[in-house]
Amino acid sequence: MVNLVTSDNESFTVEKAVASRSVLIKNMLEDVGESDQPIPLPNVTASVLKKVLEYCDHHKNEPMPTSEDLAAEDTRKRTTDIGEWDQKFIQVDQEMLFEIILAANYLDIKPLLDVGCKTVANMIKGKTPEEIRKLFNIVNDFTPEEEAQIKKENEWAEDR
Amino acid sequence: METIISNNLPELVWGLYHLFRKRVDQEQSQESAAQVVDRLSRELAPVDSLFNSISPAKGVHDECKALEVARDFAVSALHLYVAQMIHALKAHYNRISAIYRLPNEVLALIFRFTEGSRDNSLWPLRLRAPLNISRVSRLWRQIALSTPCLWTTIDVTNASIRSVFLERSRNALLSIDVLPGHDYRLDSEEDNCSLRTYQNGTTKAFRLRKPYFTLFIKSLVPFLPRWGSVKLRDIDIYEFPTFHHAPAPNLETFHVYAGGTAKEAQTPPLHLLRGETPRLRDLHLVATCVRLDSPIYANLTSLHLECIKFDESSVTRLLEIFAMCPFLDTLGLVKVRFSSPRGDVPPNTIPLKHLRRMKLVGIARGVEHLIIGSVILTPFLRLHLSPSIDRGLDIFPPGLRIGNSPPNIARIRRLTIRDNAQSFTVTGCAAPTETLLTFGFSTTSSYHASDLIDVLARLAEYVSFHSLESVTFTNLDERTISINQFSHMLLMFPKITILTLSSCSPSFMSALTIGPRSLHCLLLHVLHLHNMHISGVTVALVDSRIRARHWYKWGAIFPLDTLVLQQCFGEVRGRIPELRSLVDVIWEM
Repeated sequence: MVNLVTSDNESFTVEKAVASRSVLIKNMLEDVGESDQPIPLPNVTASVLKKVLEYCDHHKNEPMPTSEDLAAEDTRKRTTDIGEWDQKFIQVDQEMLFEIILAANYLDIKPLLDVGCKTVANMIKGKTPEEIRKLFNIVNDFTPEEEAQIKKENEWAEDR
Repeated sequence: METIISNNLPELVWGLYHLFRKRVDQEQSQESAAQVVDRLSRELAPVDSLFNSISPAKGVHDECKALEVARDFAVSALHLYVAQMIHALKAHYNRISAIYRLPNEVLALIFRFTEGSRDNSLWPLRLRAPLNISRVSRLWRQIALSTPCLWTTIDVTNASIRSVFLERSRNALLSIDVLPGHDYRLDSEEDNCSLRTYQNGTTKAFRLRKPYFTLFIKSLVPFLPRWGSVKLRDIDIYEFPTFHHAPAPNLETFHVYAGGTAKEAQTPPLHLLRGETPRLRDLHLVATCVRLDSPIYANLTSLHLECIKFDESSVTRLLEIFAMCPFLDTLGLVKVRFSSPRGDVPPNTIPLKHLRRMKLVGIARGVEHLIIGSVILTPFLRLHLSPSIDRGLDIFPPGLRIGNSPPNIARIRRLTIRDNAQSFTVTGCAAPTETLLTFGFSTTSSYHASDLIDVLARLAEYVSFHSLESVTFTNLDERTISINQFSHMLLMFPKITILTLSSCSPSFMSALTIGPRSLHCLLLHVLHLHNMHISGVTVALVDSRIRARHWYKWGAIFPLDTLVLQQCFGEVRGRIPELRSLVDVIWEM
């Protein structure tokens, strides 16, 4: 078993197979060897780690992506398909969604990072810039000059 | 100007800003901002004592001029400074928004997924990634412009602005798709009306720009070393010298879809791209003939040939190609004919250890036998066969060691039988999205139903029908299949727990009613009726399956517990209360 301590000082004891879905933790465990020392995760809060561990537990028996897989993925056309379980898992509010993505990035859990990013990609696709701004609470911060330049660049986009 | 802005303007603007805020906060009035500004300007107007200080020696006219210049200068400086302040405030606002917490490389990954989604090419340009993304904010634009792979797809919709994409993609490999909308396959969940409309829009753009395809391809020739993927429909590649003489060192995917059937004897010998395609892995040729001795066939992982008549190249040469592609993952041969004698099975079988999907449709039985008999198939192979059924012949070629070589077929738990009027399709799945076997066959009209029963009986030699959990019948019509024949088929699936009837004649439901002479599918838990006529017969069927448990030994029969009605018609609304009193009913209009 592995003991993980979050930024808000909560402790989680999980199976090694579950914790090792994180390449960061896996490397740490390999570096320190057999040890009862808790692993601090200063960038992850308890509520987020709980979700991340739920994902890791569900996928613990799946093969880890190899470096070849990752290289092949880069050349392949990416799709935004998400598995059925993963879709239900990632149905959270925006705040939590971004926290999960940040945690997956920090903990180096590529499949979870992909699920999070695909979910955001699905939210973006087929929307106008204004709809995207509204969705993510972003304001248009282009200067009037930049705005004019973009408008000029995109005149062709108005006809279709 | 800069000095004035930095020395005086911030103080002035902040002073005015605080004064403005203070007045508004104090008075809590309903005045508009313009009204407040107007009132403040009146209150702050210069007093008479100011004019006493102006020397009478100086002309009032000069003084006015100087003041006007000062005013214009101040206004310009004010505009500039306030614009900077507003920009800084907006940038700060964005920095505190949740999505800005994601690092740039993660945002870039999100953008890559958005751009790479299957339907991205279908959206109008203003809604399409990366064009929409690059207009959201400064940061998003900066990330989009510094991610070349977002700008690599060039197709019929953005062809007119290809120069923008060619420049922004820098040296990344290009994906050139000249396809109509229907060639962009959608998932069922994506299969919504708006997307279908956009799909039609892309098809329309394809048709409108068809006369310019030649010019379009020619304009991309200088970038040939950057071609990574090329998919073309309705473009005659024989017309382009480029496709004959120029190598494509980085081409990985090449799909050409033409109409009709390509005949080898009638097409010029085409050594596609001079045969110099060292990275080509995915080759898909429809009605486009490239001689089988071309080097482009080597080292493929996906090969699909369709509607081609090889007058000179032989089947043996095709088998040699398989041997040159040890990592072949997908093989499709559809309506491929050979004039030369098919030859014998080679003494050494060809190991295709990575073959996951094989589709052999509309090819001569002898050729099919030769191919299957010449290769060693993998345990995880998914088969799509469509042989012509000759009565008395085995449904699978004798060379196919179906029982032990591809044990995948033994994993089939769900069977779908579809009547296509003059042909049937039998599909076997392990799970809803995992199709292991698709088997289509045509029948003669006189043997229509009996052919199906015959094929099922022979399929049962390979697929354990006793292990099937679910069977679906689609489009069965009592004019071609009698109730007795349907009952006979049901006897083949004694242990199924889920049965679906979709768009079938309603009379088939009576075969499912439990009675002294009708005891089919005794373990049925769920009956799914899709696009079926609902009437008293449906109620009688359900009722019989509930009551039957009282007549038979405990455990011998399982009472129906769920009835799913999907897009059914007839007396649905009227019968729902009766049905609900018997079983759980899931009703989808």
